[in-house]
Amino acid sequence: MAYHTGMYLFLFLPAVLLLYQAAPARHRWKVLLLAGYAFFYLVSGKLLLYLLGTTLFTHYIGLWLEALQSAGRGKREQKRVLAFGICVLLAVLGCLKYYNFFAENLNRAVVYFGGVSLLAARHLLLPIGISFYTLQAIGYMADIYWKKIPAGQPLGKVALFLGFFPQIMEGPISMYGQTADQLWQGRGIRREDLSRGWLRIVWGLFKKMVIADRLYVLVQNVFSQHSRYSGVIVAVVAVAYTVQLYMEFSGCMDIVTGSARVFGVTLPENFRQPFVSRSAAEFWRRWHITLGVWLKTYVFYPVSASGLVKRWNRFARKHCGKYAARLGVSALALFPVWLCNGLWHGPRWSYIFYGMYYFVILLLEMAFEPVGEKIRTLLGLKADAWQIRAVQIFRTWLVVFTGELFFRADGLRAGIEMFRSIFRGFSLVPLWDGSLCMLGLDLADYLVVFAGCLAVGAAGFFKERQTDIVVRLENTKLPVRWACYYALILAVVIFGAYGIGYQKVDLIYAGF
Amino acid sequence: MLDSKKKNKVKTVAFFGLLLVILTGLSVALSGYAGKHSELVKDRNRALTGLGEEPDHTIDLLVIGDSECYTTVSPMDLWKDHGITAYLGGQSGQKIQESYYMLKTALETQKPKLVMMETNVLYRSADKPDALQDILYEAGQHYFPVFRYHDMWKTLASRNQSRGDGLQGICAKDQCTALYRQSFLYGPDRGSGSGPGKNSALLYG
Repeated sequence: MAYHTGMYLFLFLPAVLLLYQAAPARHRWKVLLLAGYAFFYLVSGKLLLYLLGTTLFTHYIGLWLEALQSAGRGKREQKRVLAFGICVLLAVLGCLKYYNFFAENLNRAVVYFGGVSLLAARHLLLPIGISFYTLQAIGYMADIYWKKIPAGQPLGKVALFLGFFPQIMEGPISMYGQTADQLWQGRGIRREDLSRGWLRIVWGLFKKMVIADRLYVLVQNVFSQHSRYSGVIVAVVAVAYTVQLYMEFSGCMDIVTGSARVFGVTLPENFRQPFVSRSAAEFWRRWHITLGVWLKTYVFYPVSASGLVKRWNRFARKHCGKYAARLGVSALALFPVWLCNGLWHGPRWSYIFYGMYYFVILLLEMAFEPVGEKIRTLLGLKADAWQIRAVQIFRTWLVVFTGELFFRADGLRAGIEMFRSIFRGFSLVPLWDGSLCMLGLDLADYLVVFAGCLAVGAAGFFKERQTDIVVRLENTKLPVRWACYYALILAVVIFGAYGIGYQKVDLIYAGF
Repeated sequence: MLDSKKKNKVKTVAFFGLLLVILTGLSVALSGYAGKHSELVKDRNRALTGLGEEPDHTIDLLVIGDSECYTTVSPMDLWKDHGITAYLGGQSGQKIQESYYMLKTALETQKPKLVMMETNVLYRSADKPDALQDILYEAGQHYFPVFRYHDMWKTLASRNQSRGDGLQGICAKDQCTALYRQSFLYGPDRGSGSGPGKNSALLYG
């Protein structure tokens, strides 16, 4: 039951809304919690036990930490309890998600050195959203350890924080302080929340069904038979996949955020116009924001504050200068962040490569920043000059499209082959000789995708200028407002890539 | 004067009412257009679209089910040899939900003396959420055919029109493979058994 299906939108969500509103305020959190578990059960069946186990364990570790804190016990003991909690959660995630990857690579290494396979592959079922709720659970335990969360959090509140149904499948990965109180409050449904929530949901459906699901055909056709294509076709498909992924993931986030909004819950945003970023670092502050924030809070900062990094900083400043010290510290702190980022997406070398790719790109950006400054000064251009911005945005696009090519490719080897094939017999002719219309999409599809991207781009343009289109729309006259709403709904109905002739496209990030 | 709460309620009802009117209007227009231009309709929808276009009370035998029904019954031969007016409502891999709405559509304008159901459809299993999703999907398409014919604009724009039929549900194709060469049909010696309960439940209401 994905978020864009009729079953979720026309049965599950309205049923939960009715029950929620009908329940007394003090019991509303129970409706949301039961709905979360029902949703989880419908998708993952008995694997719900993993979520229940994680919830009980996380709450117990929280109580343990609080007990140590109130007894005035030392930091070291608290740190051990926290480490134990994190290790158990990561062990469960590791066993279910990474065991086969580990076994396969270990066996390969052993066989390479003349031995025999040590570990057999196992058929392991992965509960939906395990990568998302595990991170939230770790965040909760760390926040208790850092005393960011007041003591004595009820089990139900922790359970709801980990099992709120709109967030289960694809996040956003929220921190306890961001959502738990809102969920617990049980505020009645308000007209404003309802209308804004539904509008956001329809906007998400537009992105997913009109643009992303249409591009899926093109992307699937080329990536599944990549050896047949080269040159500009591969480059176009790398761009198409990036657009598909963005529209899909951000569209799903719109549906999720809209679903939460109808209950009066504001979830953290996961995207902020990533394609106007002027650097890869900025891109990651605008793309999958909640994962970036989580990694920054719970990996980057602790590593930066660790003894090893501090010692290196002192040593490097003394012997190598500020510039090298800064680069070295960044490298030490960023390496685990990007390794975790890559691995989090799944047990594949191409994902690890994806993480390392951004690690290297970010370090290069830092390393060449002074050179860029010098060139800009030589050219006599201001930092905010449009020429500089255009070049930086275009450069970021190249970095992002290349990264997504490796991310989507069926394995690292396929990614390398596809990347190399771009430069083999490169010619722009396939752009207009009809070759693109032989890949599963025809001219009408491309026009719909283009028009859809323009609409999303225009919405992003206003948002970037701090103009809230929804508020502006709400202040227009009723006929205009309704005409816009109907136009959006009909665009999804008429131009949506659903029904006969289209494949059902699963949510990409639900697989992570 | 209405107070603001009542006003808002009226507005909400009016908004959704108007949306229903728009969807119904589009459905009527697109169904009519699809009936007259079956070449614009996707193969899978063609049997159902053609069914609605048959003159009232003219079908004696209605056949529904999956590919095994449309590859084994020939309405043209039945008419030629026995004078029976038959219509094929078969679709490849037809789901029970599709069978149900095919039958429902037929019974709106026809009174067939016999409905022949190819039972392979009863033995095809589906997860409960998927089955529910399919019920919603088929019901939506039945009551608002705009969902069924929503992308006819694309066929029109791309001129990718396949051959119209007028062959009582048969879809004419230029290239065919002899069925038994593909060896996927069930033989008579496969034994018998009951299908998944939810399929039977749907069939018998």
